[in-house]
Amino acid sequence: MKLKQKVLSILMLMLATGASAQINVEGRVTDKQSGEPLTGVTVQVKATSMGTVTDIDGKYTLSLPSQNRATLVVSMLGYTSKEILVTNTIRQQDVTLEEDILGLEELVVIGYGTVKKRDLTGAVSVANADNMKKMTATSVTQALQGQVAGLQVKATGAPGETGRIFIRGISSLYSDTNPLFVIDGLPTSDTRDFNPDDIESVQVLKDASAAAIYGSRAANGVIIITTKRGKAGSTKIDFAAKYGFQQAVKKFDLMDGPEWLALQEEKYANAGRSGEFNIIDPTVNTDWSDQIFQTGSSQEYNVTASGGTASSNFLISANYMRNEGIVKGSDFERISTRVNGGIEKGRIKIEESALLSTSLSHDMAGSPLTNYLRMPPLMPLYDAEGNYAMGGENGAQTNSVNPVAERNLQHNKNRSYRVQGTVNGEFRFTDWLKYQINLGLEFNTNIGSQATEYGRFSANDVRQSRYSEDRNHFLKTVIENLLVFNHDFGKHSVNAIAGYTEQRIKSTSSGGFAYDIMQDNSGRYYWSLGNGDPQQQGLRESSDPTGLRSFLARIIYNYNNTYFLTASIRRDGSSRFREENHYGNFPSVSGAWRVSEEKFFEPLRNIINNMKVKVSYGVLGNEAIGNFRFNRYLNSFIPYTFGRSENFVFGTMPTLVVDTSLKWEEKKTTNIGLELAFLGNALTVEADYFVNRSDDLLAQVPIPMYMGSWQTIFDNGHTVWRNAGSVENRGIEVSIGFEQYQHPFKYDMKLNLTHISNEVKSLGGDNAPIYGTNTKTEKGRSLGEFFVLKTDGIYQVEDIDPDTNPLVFGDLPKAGDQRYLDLYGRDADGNLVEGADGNINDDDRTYVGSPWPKLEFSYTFNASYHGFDFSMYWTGAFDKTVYNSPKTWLYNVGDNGNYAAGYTGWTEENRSQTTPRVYADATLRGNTTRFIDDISFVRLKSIQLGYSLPNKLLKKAGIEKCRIYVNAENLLTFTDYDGLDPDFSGGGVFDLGVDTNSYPCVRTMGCGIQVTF
Amino acid sequence: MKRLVFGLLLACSVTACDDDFINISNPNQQTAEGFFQTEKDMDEAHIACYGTLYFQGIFGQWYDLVFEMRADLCYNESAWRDYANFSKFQYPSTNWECISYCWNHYYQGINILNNFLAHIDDESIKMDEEKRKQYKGEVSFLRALYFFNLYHLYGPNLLLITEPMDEVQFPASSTEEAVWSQIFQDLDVALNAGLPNVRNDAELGRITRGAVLAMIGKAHMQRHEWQAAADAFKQLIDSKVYQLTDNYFDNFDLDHEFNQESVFEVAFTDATKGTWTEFGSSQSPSTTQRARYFAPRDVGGHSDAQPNYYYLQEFVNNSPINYGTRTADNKVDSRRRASILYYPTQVLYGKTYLELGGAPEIDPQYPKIWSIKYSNGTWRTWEDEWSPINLRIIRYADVLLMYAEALNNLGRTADAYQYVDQVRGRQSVNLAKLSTVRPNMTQAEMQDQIEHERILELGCESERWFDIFRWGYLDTEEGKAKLLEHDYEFRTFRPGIDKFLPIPQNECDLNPNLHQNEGF
Repeated sequence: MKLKQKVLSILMLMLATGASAQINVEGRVTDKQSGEPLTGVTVQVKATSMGTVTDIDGKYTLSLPSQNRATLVVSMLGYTSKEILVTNTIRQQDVTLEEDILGLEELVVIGYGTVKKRDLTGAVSVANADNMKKMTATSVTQALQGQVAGLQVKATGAPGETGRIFIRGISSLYSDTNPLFVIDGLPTSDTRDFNPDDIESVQVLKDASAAAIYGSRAANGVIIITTKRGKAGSTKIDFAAKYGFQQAVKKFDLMDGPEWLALQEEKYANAGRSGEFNIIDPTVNTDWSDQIFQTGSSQEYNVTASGGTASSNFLISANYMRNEGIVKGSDFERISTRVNGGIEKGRIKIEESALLSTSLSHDMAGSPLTNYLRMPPLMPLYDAEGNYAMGGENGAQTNSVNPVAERNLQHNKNRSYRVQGTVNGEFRFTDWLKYQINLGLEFNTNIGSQATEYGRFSANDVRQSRYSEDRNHFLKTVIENLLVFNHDFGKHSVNAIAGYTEQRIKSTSSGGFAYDIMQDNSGRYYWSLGNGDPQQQGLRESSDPTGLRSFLARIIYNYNNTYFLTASIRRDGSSRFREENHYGNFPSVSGAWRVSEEKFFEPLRNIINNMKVKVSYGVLGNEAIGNFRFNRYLNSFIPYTFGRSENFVFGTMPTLVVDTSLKWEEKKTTNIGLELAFLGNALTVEADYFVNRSDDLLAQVPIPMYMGSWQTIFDNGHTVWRNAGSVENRGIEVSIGFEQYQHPFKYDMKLNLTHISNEVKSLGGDNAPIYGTNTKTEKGRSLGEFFVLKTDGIYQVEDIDPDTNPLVFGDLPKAGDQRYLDLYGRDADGNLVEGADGNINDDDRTYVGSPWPKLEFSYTFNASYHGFDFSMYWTGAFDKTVYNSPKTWLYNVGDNGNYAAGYTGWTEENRSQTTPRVYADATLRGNTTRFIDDISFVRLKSIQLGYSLPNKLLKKAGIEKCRIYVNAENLLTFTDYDGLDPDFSGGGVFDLGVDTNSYPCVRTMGCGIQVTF
Repeated sequence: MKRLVFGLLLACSVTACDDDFINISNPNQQTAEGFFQTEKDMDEAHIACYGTLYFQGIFGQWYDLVFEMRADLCYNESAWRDYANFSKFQYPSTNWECISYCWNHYYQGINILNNFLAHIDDESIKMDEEKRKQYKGEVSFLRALYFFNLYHLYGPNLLLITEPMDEVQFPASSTEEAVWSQIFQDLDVALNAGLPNVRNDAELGRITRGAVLAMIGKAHMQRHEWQAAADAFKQLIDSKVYQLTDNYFDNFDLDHEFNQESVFEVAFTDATKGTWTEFGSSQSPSTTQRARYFAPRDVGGHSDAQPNYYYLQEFVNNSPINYGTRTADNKVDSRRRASILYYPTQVLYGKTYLELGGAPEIDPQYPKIWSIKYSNGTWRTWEDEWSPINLRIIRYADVLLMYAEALNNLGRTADAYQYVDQVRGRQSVNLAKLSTVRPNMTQAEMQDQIEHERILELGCESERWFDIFRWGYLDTEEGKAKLLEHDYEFRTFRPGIDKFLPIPQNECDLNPNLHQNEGF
C-alpha cells in the first residue's frame, strides 16, 4: 500500500508541474570566496526530478508547484551542496557556495554506482581531470602519470604507445599488468583509440574492497573513466589546439671515425692479428644516430559541442591527433568522434555514449635503436655502386641490419577502426528502487601489414620481397542487469545493488603472406596478398571466443555519516578454465569511521578538521591467460617428404606440455587507511598501508627445453601456464596535499610517496626458482632480482699467477682480463657449496640487487594569479637496480659495431680497473655486475604556464573563456644512470629491471590554446 | 511489488540464464585426447617422427654448422662475430644461440619419438604386425641417431630421456655407458624390425636395413669396437644393394637424390617455402638452410663456413699419402673442383670465382674459397633459405672407408686396400690403385692414408668432426697441435673440454640434477 501511495504522489507531483498554479523562484549562485558567478550549478527540488541549472551569469529560474514550501538542493561538483528553503513569500533566493576542499561531497564512481567521497571505505583515488589536461598527453595512460599515489605509468616515447600501468606494484606474474579499464561502464583493455580530452573523471580502484565488484578481472586494479556529458543550461563549444616539438631526452655518445679506427687497430693487434683489419676508406665518418633520429612533432585538435536541459543532454566531440616520432619512420595518427547523450522522462532515464575512432600508425621496423649502435662510423651510407653499405670483409664490417636500409625497405603499418558504445537505461520504480540495464558493445577491426622490398638488409641477409597482412575482428558485447536500492531509515542509510551480467567476445584473426610481389618496370610494388608467387604464400585463421558470466551484489551502509560499512560479492564464471574450474567467488568487506564526526572529537575539531579511519579486505581474481590453455593439443603440421616424387605430407603429434588443472588466480588485499585534515582543511594527509597477497598466480613458468614442449620450434625456451605460487606486496602510500587561496593568489600542491616491498611467498610445488634474463626469482625474495657474477676489477700484470689464479670458465686469466669473485663450488656429490673452488663459472652467480625502488614519489604543484596559471609535475624513484643492456653493445669490442665514445681497454700503461683489454674475437660475458647499475632519478615530467584572457575582453567577442599556454615535458632529469632513460618500462615480470633499449623517452616543448564559445 | 517481479522477469528475458556461452571448446585445434588409438593415428604420428629431421637444430640448419664448421677443414669469419667465435670455441654464454637450438631441437625431436614408441606396442591399436614392427624399428633408429649426435655435441652428461613426459621431470645426467647402451639397444630394435633393404619409389626416405647397419657400424667405430663395426659394414656390403655413383657430384645435387650410393638421406623439397618461425603450422618449411651458410654473399649466401687452405691443399700436397693423387691422365683429383670453388674461371651461380668475390691470389690465412657440395649454384643463380637438395647423411663411400679403417685396426691392413681403392676408383675420380702406388703399408701408414682419403672424399659433409673425435685428436695437446696446423681456429681450443659444447646453463638452472660439462 505504501508503495502505491508513493508512486501516486510522484505522479501527481509530475502532473502538477504542468499545471498553471505555480510559483517562480529565481536567484543567483556565486562562489563564496571570489564572489564570481557560478555557471552550471544544479538547482533541484529535493526528492524530485524537477530542477534547473544556472546560466552563464549564475542565474536560475525555477517554477514550483503552488505549495507552501519546498526545499531546493543547490549543488555543483567541487562545492559543498546547500539546501535552501523556499516558500510562497520568498521568490528571490541567492546562494553562495563554498568550495569543497576535501571533496567530501564529490561523487566518486565506484563501479555499478557512485558514492560521495565522504562515504568511501576502500582505497579509491580520484585523478584530477584538470591536472590531467595540463599534460600534453595523447593517451589516457600518459595523462594518468603522477596523478594518483600508487599508480605508476611506464611509457616510452613511441608514437601511439599507451604504456604499462602498475597499480601498487606487480601482483600478477602475467606480463599484462595493466588494470581493467571501464569506460562509461564498458570493460575494455584498449585505450589507444580513446581521446583523453573526452574525460570527465577518472577513478582508480586500488584495493580489493573497491575493485571486488569487478571480480575476476580486477587483480591489477580498475580504472573507471567517465566521459564528459552536456551540462544543463549551458550550450557551449570548446576548441583546443596544441602543438609541440619532440626530441630525444638523451642519445648515446658514440665513437667517431678516427677514435673507432684506433680502437679497432688496437684490438686486432692485441689478438695477434695486426694487418688483418683493412679499412677501405678511413676518411668516412658516418654519424648513424643522425640517420635514425629526427625532431618529432605532436599536434592535436579538439572540438566539443555540448549542452542540455534539465531532462536531456548532449555532447559531440571530434579529435585529431598526429604524432611524428623522434625515430624516423614512426608515426601515429588518430581521428575520433564521440556522441554522448541522455534523456530523462518521468521514471525513465536513458544515457548513451559512443566512440567512433580510427587510427593509423607506422611502426618502427626491426630494432634500429640497437642496430645503429652496431654500425661502424667508418662505414659509408652507400657503397660505390649506390647500394646500402654493408662494409668490407675483415674491416668495417658488421652483422647488424643496416638501419637505413631497413627503414627504406620495410614498411609496417597498422590501422584500427573502433566503435565503443554503451546504452544505459534506468527505470525508477520508486524513489528508493530502480532497475538499470547497461548494454555495451565494442567492435574493433585491426589491420596490420608488413611490406618488405627486395634487398640486402645486412651483410648476411638478402630478403625477398614479401607482403603479409593480418586482420583481427573483435566484437565484445556486454549486458548488465541491476537492481538498485537506496533508502534512508532515520540515521541509517542503505544503498544496495544486485546484478547479473554477461560478457561475450568473438574475435577472429586471419592473415596471410606472399613472397615475390609483383613489380612494374619502374620498380613499384603492388602490395597485395594476391600478387605474390603462388608457391610461396600462406593463410591462417583462428577464432577466439570467450564468455564471462557474473552475479554480483553489494551493500553500502552508513550510520549518521559516521560509521560506514560496505560489503560486496561477485561470482564469475569464465570460459578460460575447465568446466569444474569455471566459477570463482570474490567477496569483500570494508568499513570506515569518521572519527571527527563524533561528539568526543569536538574539542579537537579546530585542529584536526577531518579524521577518518578505513579498513578493508577483499578477494580479486585474474583470468588473463588467453583462451583454451587447459587442454593438450595435437600439432597436425609436422611435415616430411617421402618418395621419388617428393610427396609432402603432414604428420601429427601432441607437442605441448600443459597444466590441465588451471584455475583462478586469487589476490587477497588488506588495506588500512587514515585521512586527516588540518588548518581549516588546507592541509590534508592520506595514508594507506596495504598487504596484497596473490595466490595461485597464473604465470607462464619456464620449463626445461628437454621437456620437448613446443608450439613453434623457433622458440628457444619453453613455458607452461601454471598456478605458480604466491607473491605478497606490502606497501605504504602517503599523500600530502596543501592548498591555499588568498584571492587572487591560489595554489595547491600534492606529494605522493609510495614504498612497496615485494616478496615471493611460494613458487608452487617444490619452489623451484624461476630464471629470467640475468635474474632469478626465488621464494623469500622479490620478483626479478638480479643474479649474476660479481666482478672484482681487472687482472693487472702482477696479479697473474697460474698457481693461484682461478680458472675463468676453464681458462687461466691473462693480464687485462675481468676478475670475478669465486663464491661457490661443488662438493663431491655435485651440490653447490659456498666457498672458493678455484673455478669461476656460472655456479658463482649471486644476488646483486632488486629492481624494486625503495621509494617512489610524485609531486604536483599548481598556482594561479589573476589570469595566469602555472603547474608542474615531478616524479622520481630511488635506489633500484637495473640491467644496463645497451652497454652490452657499447662495450662489446668483439662485435665490429660502434662503441661508447671514450671507451678504452686495459693496457699495461692504462691500468684500468674497470675495462678489460680489447682484442678481436673477444666474447662479451653479459651476466656480470659490469652491466648492473644501482640508480635513482628525479624528473620534471611536465611544466606548464598558462594565461587566461580577461572575461570582459572576451565577452565582446562572444567568447566565454580563452586560455593560452606553453608547456614542456621531460624537461629535466637528474640521475646517476648512464642509459638513455632511468624510467624505462622494462621487460616481462621476471625481467622488470632490464633496460631493453626501447623507444627513447621524448622531450616535448609545445604550446596550445583552449577556447570556449 | 508486481513491478519488481516484472523487472526481474525482464532482466532474465534479455539474458540467457545458463552456462552455454562459457562452455566453449577450442574451434582452432584438435585436443590430444583420443589420439593414438587407430592405425591412421599411428600413420600420422609416424610422419611426425620423420618430420623431426627437419628441425633446425637437427638437419634443417645447424647440423653442418656444428659438425663441419667447428672441425678443421673450414674457417668462419662471419660478420656475426658471436658465430665466428663459436667456431673458435668461444661462447659469450652457455645459452648462446646454437648451443641452445641444438639442445632444444634434439630434445623436441626425442620427445616426439618417445611419444610414438610409448604407443606403438599398444595392442588395442589394430594394425598389421609387420608394419607395427617396422614403424617401431624406424623410429628407434631415429632415436639412436639423435642420441648419437647429442652425445657428440654435449657429451655423456646429456639426459637420457626415453619415456614421454606429460609433467615436468628432473632426470639426472647420464653416463657414457648408459648413452651407448641406449643407442645400441635402439639400433638393435631397428635391426630386428624386418626393415627392407630397398624402398620402393613411394617409400624412399624411410629407413632401410642398410641404414641401420651403417649406423651400427658407425657407432661401434666411435667406440673403437672394430670387430663389431666391421661385422655390420660387411653385412651391408654383402647385401649388394649399394654401389658408388659414377659421377662423384651426383651425391650432392638435386638431380640424383636417392641414388645407388645413398644409405641414409634426409629428403627436402621446396614445394612449400615456409619460414622457420612458422614450423609447426600449415606453412612449415621443408627445406634446408645449409647451402645459404656456405655460399658467397653475392648470391645471397653468408660465407660463414669456408673451406680452409689445408683442405684445399690436401688434394695436391706432396706427402707420401698423395702418391698417385693424380689420375691416370695426370690430372688433379677431380673431387677438388667438385668440392671447392677456388679456381679463377670456375663457375657457380652463373658467375666465375672472381666475379663472386674470390681472390686472384689465394691467401693461406683466409683463402676466401667456397664449398660446392649441396650448392644450388649448379642449377640456379642464387641461394636463399629454401634449399631443396637432400642431405646424404650416410653414403656408401663413407661405409667403404669406415670398413677399411675397421679392418686396418683389426690388423687386416692388406684387406683394407680394396675398399679404399673402390672409392679411389670411382669412374669420375679414377685414381691409381693404392695397391699399386703404395703397397705394403704398415697399419699406421694405412691409418694416415685413410684419414687423408676421408678428407678428399667426405670433406665438408659434416663427417670430419666424428672422425677427429674418433681418432682422439680432440682429447690431447698433440691432437690439438695437429688440428691447429690445419685450422688457426684451434688456437683457443681446450683439449678434452671443448670436445663438447657446454650444456645450456638455463637447463642446469631449471634442473639441478643436470650437470654442466667440465670447463664451463
